[in-house]
Amino acid sequence: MLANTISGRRWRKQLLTLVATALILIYILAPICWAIVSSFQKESALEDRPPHFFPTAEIFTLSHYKFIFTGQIDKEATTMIQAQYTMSGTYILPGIVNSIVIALAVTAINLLFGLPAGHAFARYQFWGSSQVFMGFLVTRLLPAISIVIPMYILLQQFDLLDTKRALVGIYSAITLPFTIWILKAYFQNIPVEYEEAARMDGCGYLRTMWRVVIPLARPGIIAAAIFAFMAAYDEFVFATVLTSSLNSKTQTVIIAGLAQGLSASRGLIAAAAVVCFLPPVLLAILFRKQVVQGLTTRFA
Amino acid sequence: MTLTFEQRHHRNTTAFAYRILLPSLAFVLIFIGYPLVYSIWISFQDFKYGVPTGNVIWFRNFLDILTSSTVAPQFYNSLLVTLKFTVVAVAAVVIISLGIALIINERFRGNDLLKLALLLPYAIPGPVNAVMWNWIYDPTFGVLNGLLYQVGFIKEYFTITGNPDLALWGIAFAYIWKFVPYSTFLFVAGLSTIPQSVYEAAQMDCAGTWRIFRKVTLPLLMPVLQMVLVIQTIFALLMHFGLVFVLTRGGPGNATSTLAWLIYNESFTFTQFGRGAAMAIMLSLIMIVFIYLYLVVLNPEKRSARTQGA
Amino acid sequence: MGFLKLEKITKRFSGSLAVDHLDLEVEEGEFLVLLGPSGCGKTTTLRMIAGLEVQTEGKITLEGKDISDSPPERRDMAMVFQNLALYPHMTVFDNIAFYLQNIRTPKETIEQKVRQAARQVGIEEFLTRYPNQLSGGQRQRVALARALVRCPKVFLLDEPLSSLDAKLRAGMRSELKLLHRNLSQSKERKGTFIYVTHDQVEALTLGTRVAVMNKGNIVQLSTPRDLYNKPRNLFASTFVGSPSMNLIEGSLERENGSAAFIFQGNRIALGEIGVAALKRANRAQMPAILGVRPESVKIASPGMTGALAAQVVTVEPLGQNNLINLQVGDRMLIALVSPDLAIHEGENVNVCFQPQATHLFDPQTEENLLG
Ligand SMILES: Nc1ncnc2c1ncn2[C@@H]1O[C@H](COP(=O)(O)OP(=O)(O)OP(=O)(O)O)[C@@H](O)[C@H]1O
Ligand SMILES: [Mg+2]
Repeated sequence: MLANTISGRRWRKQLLTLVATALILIYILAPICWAIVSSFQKESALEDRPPHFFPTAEIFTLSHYKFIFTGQIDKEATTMIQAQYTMSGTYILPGIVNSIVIALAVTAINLLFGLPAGHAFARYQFWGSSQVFMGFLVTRLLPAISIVIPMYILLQQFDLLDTKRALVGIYSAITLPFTIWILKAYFQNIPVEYEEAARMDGCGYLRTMWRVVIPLARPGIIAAAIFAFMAAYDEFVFATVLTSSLNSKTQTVIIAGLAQGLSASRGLIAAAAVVCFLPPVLLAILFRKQVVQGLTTRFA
Repeated sequence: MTLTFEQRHHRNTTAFAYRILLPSLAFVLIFIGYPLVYSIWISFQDFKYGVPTGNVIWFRNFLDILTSSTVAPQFYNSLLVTLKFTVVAVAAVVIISLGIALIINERFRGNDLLKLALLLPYAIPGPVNAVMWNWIYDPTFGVLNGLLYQVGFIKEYFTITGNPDLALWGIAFAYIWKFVPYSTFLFVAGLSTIPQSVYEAAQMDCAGTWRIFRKVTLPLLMPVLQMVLVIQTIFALLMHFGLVFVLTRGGPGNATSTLAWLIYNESFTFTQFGRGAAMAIMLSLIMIVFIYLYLVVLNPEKRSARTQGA
Repeated sequence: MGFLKLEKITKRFSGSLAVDHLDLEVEEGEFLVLLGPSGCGKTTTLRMIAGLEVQTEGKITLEGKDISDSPPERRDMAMVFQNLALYPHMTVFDNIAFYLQNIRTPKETIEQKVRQAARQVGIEEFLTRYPNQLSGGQRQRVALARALVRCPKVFLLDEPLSSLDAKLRAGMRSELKLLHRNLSQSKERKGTFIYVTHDQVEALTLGTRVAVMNKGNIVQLSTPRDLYNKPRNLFASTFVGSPSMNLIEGSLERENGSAAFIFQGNRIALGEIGVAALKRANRAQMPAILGVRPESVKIASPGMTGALAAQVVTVEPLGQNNLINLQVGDRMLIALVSPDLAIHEGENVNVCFQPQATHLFDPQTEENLLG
C-alpha cells in the first residue's frame, strides 16, 4: 500500500517535471525557431495569413541567405523585393565582419592586459589593491548611456567618430573589469604553490605565466575570452551613436536599422537575424561548460 | 648597484602590481573615467544645434529637467515608465528563472537539454532579439497574431507595439525572455550548494513540497536571491535600450519612453547634449544606489567565498 | 663562516609578527630541522630563505653573498612543498625536467639527469604518467626527484611527509636520511637540507641539528641528542619528548654541602647538580622547576631513602612500555616503566629519580639553571 502511493507520487512528479520541461523548452526555443523557419520562406509566403509554421517545398527558399552571402538576387524575386534587398541587405555581411574584427581585438586586449591584472589582484597584496579593484567593479556596472554623450563629443573633437579603433577602445574599457573580476576569482581557486614551485624552478614572471599560470587557468581564461567577445559583439548603445558608415557599423546597428526600414524584406531580416546570432550562439554552445561555470563563479 | 627588473619586483610588489595594472587602468580611465567627469561639465553647458553656446549655465539643465513645463513632464513620465518596466521585468525574471532552476535541480535526464537551450537567449545579441520579436509581434503578418487567430483567441489581428497600453509589456516580454537564462544559471548554482540531506531531513519531518520550498529552499537561497534581484535591477534599468530602439522608439506617444531612451532621444535626436548629460547623471545616481547595494551591502566577493566553502 | 646565514630576520604580516629577529647559520652538507608548534613561523622562515617571502628586516647571505634582494628563481634552491605542487598539466618527466628546461640544458643531458633522479627515488616506470595517476607515496617521490635533479645549493622541505599515512611516512623518513647521507658525501656539491616539521620524531631522526622554534624565534639549536638530554629551557624540554617531561614546582635549597629540591614537604636530594645550579645563580636558596623525563622516573622498593610516596592512578599498556599515572601529593607524574614490573592501579609505591637525569629551570626566565 505504502509502496504504491510512493511510486504513484514519484510517477506523478516525473510526469509533472516532464510536462514543465516541455513547456519551458517551447518557451525558450519557439522565438528562435520562428526566426529560422521564416528565414527559409519565400517573401510571398511570409505575407500569408495564417503564417506557415513549416517551410514546405513550395515556399522553401535559400534566396535570403544567398543574397546575404553573395549579393545575388534570385530571378523569382519580384522587382519590389529586389529593391528592398538592395537597399540594406548588402550591409549585413560587412557589419558582421566589423563586429567580429572588433570583438576579436577586444578579446585580445582583454587577455593581454586583463589576464595579468586579474592575476595581480589574486596574488599580490599591494597598497590600494581592494580600492582599485572596487573601482573596476563600479565601472563595470555604470550605465553606458551616461558616458555615450561625452564620448560622442570627445571622439568628434579627436576626429575618431565612425572608426573601429574608437569602438575597440571603449569596448575594452567596458569588458576589462569583468575579465579581471572572473579571472581573479579563477586564480584564487588555484593553489599558489604551483606558481611558487615554478619560481623555485627558475622561471621569471613571464615564464611562470606562460608555462604554469595560463595552462592551469585555461577554463577560466576561455570563459573570460568568450564573455569579452560576446559583450563586444552584442554592444549596441555606443555602436549606434558612434558609427555612421560601413567603416565601423557593427551587425547590431545594421540589423536594428534593417528592421526600421518599412520596406525591408521580412525574410531577409529573419535570415540576417540568424546569421548575426550564429557566432555567439555557436561559441556559447561549444564552450557551454566554461560559460556556465564562468557565469556563476561570482554572482555577477 | 642597479637592480634587475626581477629584483625590484621582488622587493616592491606595489610598484610591480601597478605596472601590471597600468594598461587596464589606462583603458578604464581614458574611456570611462574621463568621459564620466567630462559629462558633468557637459551637463553644465547650454547646447544649440549640437554645439555648446558657450554659456555655462551650471545647474540650469537639472532644474529644467525637474521643473520646466516642457521637459519635466517627459522626465517624470520616463521615470514612471522605467519604474513600471523595471518592477515587472525583474519580478518576472526572478520568478520564471527560479521556477526553471527548481525544475533543473530535480536532476532528471532532460535537464542537460534545458541548460543547453537556456544558453541560446543568453547568447543572442540584444538588437537581434529585438528584431526577432518585432517580426513575431508584426501587426499584419506576425506569428503571434496568426497563432491567436488560429485558436480563436482573437477575432482580428492587433498591434502590440502600436498600442500604448501594450507596447511596454511587449518590450518587457522580449526582455524577460532574454534575461531569464542568466539568473536561472545563478539559481541553479545556488541550489546546488544546498545539500540533499537538508531536503531529506525535511521530508522526514513530513513537510509538503510547498512547505519545503518556503521553509527550507527559500531561506537557504536568500543570498543568491538578493544578489539576483539587485543585479537584475541594474540590468533592467538599461539593457532594454535595444528593444525600445527597434520595437517602439519610445512610442506610441511616449508610452515606452524609458529614461535610457529619453536620454538618447534628447541627446541624439534633439542634440540637447547638456540636458541629455544631466539626465544621464541622474540615471547614474539612481544606479549608484543599486550598485552600492550590490557591491557593498551584498558583496559578491565575500558571499561567493562562503558558498564555495560550503 | 656559515654557508647560509640569516641575520636578524624579521617578518611582519600586516601587524602580526611571524618571525622575530631570528639568527641562524647553516653549514654546507648539514640537515637542519626547524621544529616547533603550529604557527611559530617555521614556514615563514623557510619561505624567506627561498625568496618566496621578503623579510621585513634582516639579511640573508648564501656563500657570503647577500641574497636578500634576489628573487626565488635566482637563488638556486629547490623546494618540496607541503602539498607537493606537482604541475598537474605536465607528465612526471616534464615535472622533473622543468628546471633543466628553464635553464636551457641540452636535451640529452636532461634525459640522462631526469632518469638518474627518477632512479634515485625509484619512480623510473612512471615518467610518462601525470601526477593525478600516481599514489600519494609516488607523488612524494616525484617531488623529491624534482628537487634532486637540480643539485641545488639548498634543499628546502616544508613538512613534505605530512600528507602520507604513518607507515609510508616512516619508510620515506629512512629513505630521506639515506639520501642525505649519500649527498653529503658527494664531492662537488654537498646536499644541504633545511626541513620544516612539527613532528619531533622526524626532527630527532633526520636532523644533524634541530632548531626548536617558538613564537617566531629559535629557542634552542643543537644536535638531536643534546636537545633531548640538555634542553635549554622549559619550552624545548616539554616540546621534545613524548610523553612530555614531568615538571614539578618547588624550591632548591642548599643543605650541608649538598643540595635538595623541596616541594610540598617532599625532599629530593640532587647532590652535585643542585649545588652547581645554586652556585651558578649565586644563591643559597631559590625557587625552581624540576624536570624529569617519564622514562627516568623509577619505581623504588618501599622504604628506600629519598623516595617519594606515590599512588598509582592508572596503568596504560603501550606495548613496549607501560605508561603509569602517579599521584604525588596533589601532583600528577607520568612514568614509563617496563611491562614486566607488576604494578596495579590504586597501589601505593615509592618513586625516585637519578639526580643526573633531572633538569632544573628558573620559573621566571624559564631557562635551564645549568645553562
Ligand atoms: N600570508 C600571511 N598573512 C598574514 N599572516 C600570516 C601569513 N602567513 C603566515 N602568517 C602568520 O604568521 C605566523 C607564522 O606562520 P607560519 O605559516 O610560518 O607557521 P608554521 O610554523 O609554518 O605553522 P604550521 O606548523 O601550522 O605550518 C602565523 O601566526 C600565521 O598566522
Ligand atoms: Mg607551515
